[in-house]
Amino acid sequence: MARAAQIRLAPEDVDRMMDSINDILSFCALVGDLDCADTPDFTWRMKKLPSRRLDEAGDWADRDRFKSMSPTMEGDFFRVPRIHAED
Amino acid sequence: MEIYEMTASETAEGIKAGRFSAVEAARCGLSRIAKFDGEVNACVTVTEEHAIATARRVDGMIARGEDPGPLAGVPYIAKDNFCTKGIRTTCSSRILENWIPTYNASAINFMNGAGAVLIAKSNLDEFAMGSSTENSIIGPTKNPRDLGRVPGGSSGGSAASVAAGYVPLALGSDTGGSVRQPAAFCGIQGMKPSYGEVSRFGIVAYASALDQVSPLARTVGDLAMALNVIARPDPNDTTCDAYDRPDFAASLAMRDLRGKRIGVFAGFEAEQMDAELYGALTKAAALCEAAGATVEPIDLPIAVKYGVATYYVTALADASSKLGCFDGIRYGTHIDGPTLTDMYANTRTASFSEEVRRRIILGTCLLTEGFYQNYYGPALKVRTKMAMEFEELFSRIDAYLLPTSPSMPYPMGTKETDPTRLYLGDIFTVPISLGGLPGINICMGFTPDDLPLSVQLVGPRYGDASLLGIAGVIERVVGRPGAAAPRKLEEVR
Amino acid sequence: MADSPLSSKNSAAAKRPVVIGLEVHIQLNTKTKLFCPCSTDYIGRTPNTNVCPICLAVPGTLPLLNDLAVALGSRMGLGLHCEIQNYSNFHRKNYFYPDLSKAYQITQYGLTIAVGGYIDIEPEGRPKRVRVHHLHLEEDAGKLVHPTADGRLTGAAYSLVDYNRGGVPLSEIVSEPDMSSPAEARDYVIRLRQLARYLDVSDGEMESGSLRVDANISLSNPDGSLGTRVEIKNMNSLKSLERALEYEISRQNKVLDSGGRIVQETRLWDDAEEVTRSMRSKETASDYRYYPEMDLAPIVITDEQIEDFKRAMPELPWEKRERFAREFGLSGEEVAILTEQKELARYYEETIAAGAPPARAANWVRMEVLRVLNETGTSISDFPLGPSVLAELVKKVESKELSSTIAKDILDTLSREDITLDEAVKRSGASAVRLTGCLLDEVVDRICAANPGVVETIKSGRDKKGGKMKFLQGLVMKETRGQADPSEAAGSLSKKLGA
Repeated sequence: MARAAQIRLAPEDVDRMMDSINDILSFCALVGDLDCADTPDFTWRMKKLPSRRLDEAGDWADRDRFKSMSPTMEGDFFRVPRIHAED
Repeated sequence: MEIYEMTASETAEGIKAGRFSAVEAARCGLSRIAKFDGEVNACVTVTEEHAIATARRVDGMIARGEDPGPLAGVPYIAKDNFCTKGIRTTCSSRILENWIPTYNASAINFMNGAGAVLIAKSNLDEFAMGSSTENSIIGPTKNPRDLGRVPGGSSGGSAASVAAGYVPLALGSDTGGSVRQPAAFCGIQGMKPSYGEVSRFGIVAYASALDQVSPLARTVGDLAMALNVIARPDPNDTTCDAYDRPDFAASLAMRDLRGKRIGVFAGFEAEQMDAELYGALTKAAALCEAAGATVEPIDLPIAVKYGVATYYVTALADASSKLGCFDGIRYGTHIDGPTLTDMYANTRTASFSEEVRRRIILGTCLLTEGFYQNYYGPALKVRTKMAMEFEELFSRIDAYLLPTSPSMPYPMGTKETDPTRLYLGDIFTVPISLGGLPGINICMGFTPDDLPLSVQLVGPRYGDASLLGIAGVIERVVGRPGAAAPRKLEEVR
Repeated sequence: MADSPLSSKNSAAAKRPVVIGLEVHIQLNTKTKLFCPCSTDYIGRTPNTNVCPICLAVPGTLPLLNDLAVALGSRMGLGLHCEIQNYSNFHRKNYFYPDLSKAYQITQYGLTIAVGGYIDIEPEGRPKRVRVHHLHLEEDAGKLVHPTADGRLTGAAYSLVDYNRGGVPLSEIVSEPDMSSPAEARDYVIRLRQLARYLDVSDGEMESGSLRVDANISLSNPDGSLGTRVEIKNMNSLKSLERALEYEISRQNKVLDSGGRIVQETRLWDDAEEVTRSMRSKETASDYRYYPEMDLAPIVITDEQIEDFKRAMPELPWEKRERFAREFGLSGEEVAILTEQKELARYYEETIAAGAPPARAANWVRMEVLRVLNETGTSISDFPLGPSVLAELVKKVESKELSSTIAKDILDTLSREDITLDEAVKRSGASAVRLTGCLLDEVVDRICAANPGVVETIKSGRDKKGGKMKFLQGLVMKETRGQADPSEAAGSLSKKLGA
């Protein structure tokens, strides 16, 4: 799970983390106890739905400033390390 | 009366009438921060330069006879998860330690447009995950009413700022009680509006389905004033309702509660919560009755039993997804590694605190196949059931009284180690969030030790305006205790 | 090591029916991205210029759904005979990859904008109906650039990310597994592409990536039950789609023939090697985590809006085919060619509207206009010779004012040079020296005198198939440089030679 979340767990932390996660999961399993047959999924109801965005182009004035703050900018690109470990 | 003791509306009136200037009001707040914040630690960033420049503009407008807006010159503080253009926005996290947004949150734009002056960004539990404001890169915030205790959270910095008299008005975000509970702990008023009332654009999300921009103030009237400014349609947020808002301050003219039906929470035994708080709830019910309301005890079986579990499933799943954008590529902290997954893990492991990492891993887990069927899927249906329960409730009553928190502000550093018990502190706030209902924390007074006593008043969805009216009546009959200055803080200096 | 394809045509293979389903992504013709106002025109743009806080997943930003994408998705759905849903919503598909800025893709899942439909195909003249399961909207991912010699990921020491494409609106059309051969799959894509172009929903260019096809293919078991499904990706032309499916049928048959089992997996088509290869496990983000996107209001389309969409529907390809056959009396093949692109069909109709007779105009558009377009590599929209000019030209041929040969030369000239029809006619000399009557007879006499042997053969009745006569006719036309009317030349020759 930690790998799917792209988070590393130190060996000494694994047990503690696992315990607290299991505690919470077993507590949250309560949501399965209520009989919800024929109950629809929750969605927000609104008084008035906002209108959808029109297909009109806009430009972003602060693009370069934004890029200059990026930690990985290389030329016009963002750079990431080798994608596969074993190549 | 000192400027810092004034409400937001008194401050704006004073500035418009020329009794003092916006710059003076801003300097007053800034000097309170300079004097007390070394101790309280409510502010992540003090925006002095920006504040003085903005205040000068307001003064200039007044000098030219222009109207700067209803919050003319009112100093305010925003939680540090509101994006502020050109002003560092950290979410109290290492990963955004040096991040400077290129845009303002809509709520910030609306506040500025109404003449308000941002003087600081306030502390929070990292990414709003927590309820004590202890989990932050700048360290914990202290409760101005008792410096040994927590201010609540996650908007603890905003609540402490208002209680300590830095500002009459602050903005926080309330996901599962993050504004109501710190308001209760700090002895002020805080309101989570109905979901959909206020644009979430520019709030660094904890949970999209629950977050709501929420004002904190010392009076209910100031809450209404703030809502009149920030609750409006916004083309930048399609979950923000497009309907025409009523005047939220109009119902403050309400004199008594004759004809009002008020429910009082009856699902807990007195001994299951702090006795003082149970007393505050009973007192509030009695006051409502004395003011002419019919009061009846009502239970909320589904919301109370399933609320917290449903809330955590919903919020953690959402948080794990929303925090995925912190991948070390486009902004924020980046810690390199030989491969992509190393870089991801290096960045995210070192830049998120343990609590945030735990919640991300949990949320990731909740969305995987198998878990989804047993957790997220049912939670979506339980929410519908809860919404039906609330709908039924508000077909019978106009407002519902219940505690904000089951416990008094606890001493710092005594954080509950059992996370599931800690989360039960949210038992009265999260169902309201899940239902999208408006909820107001009303300060009912103080213990002899100056610890605040509060109740929560809840209304039907989009019933924010009349809820403010009822809260205003209760506030008046208890004598506006939320406006009281923190005694102990003044004694410190 | 990959096996050589198409070599196992044994009897067992023939007994296993092929089941193919396609997932086709088309890029919607909008100016801006699905959830932000950035331009969708990413081809050839400087990297990371069509970007904004929303598509770069800057904290605090929220998606803003493009209304036109909803309209185009609905229009395509209607063209596919789908039911447009009054209420649908978006989900988040969570996974980490550098081209996905938010670490989730916003896509429709479960409740989609259009469901249930079909498209009629006719591969090699055999009609068939392929059902459409649903159509949904989703956003595209950015692009990764790998600084290796072959531009592939393998071996790249680092990669570069360009988010220009990130957030471009796509509509995914998922078919039922109703196709049973690569030819059917190919025709399905052709019909879908034609529909998308007719509706102005998408360019549908496979090569540039505005139409992408993923295929699911399985071979049924002898008892009729479905076999294990394999997904094939990375086919960027109709040809590679067909080849990949053919290869996969042969591969799966071989595996089964040798007693093996098919593994459920995703395979990538390698266009250079002409094989499919199993994707490495790391490339398959198998564990997508879906859940409802709460940052977006639901898509609500009212019945009135659906009626508006229906009213605004242009004539569809099959409707046009039917009308062309009926109104203009054209053959199936002629109709198919003329209606393949709606621009060509419009050109044809305008030619008729300008007075050209339908049958002759159909010939001219089909043979000559398409020939010139092919030779010059232009599209009909950029063809300089307008339909009214073509109509004039066709009328001149019809009235025998011009011979076909000269008219074709004139068409060539007009497609190259910016001159009027009158100028072109004048320059061809056709109007000045029109060889007819006794002038033409003179040429016929000259040709006959120069070819006594051929004349003798014809006169003695040995030219049974008329080949020699044709030969002389050709010489006459050559001599007159096309200024004679071919039928008049033939008449004059027959008269002289008594044939």
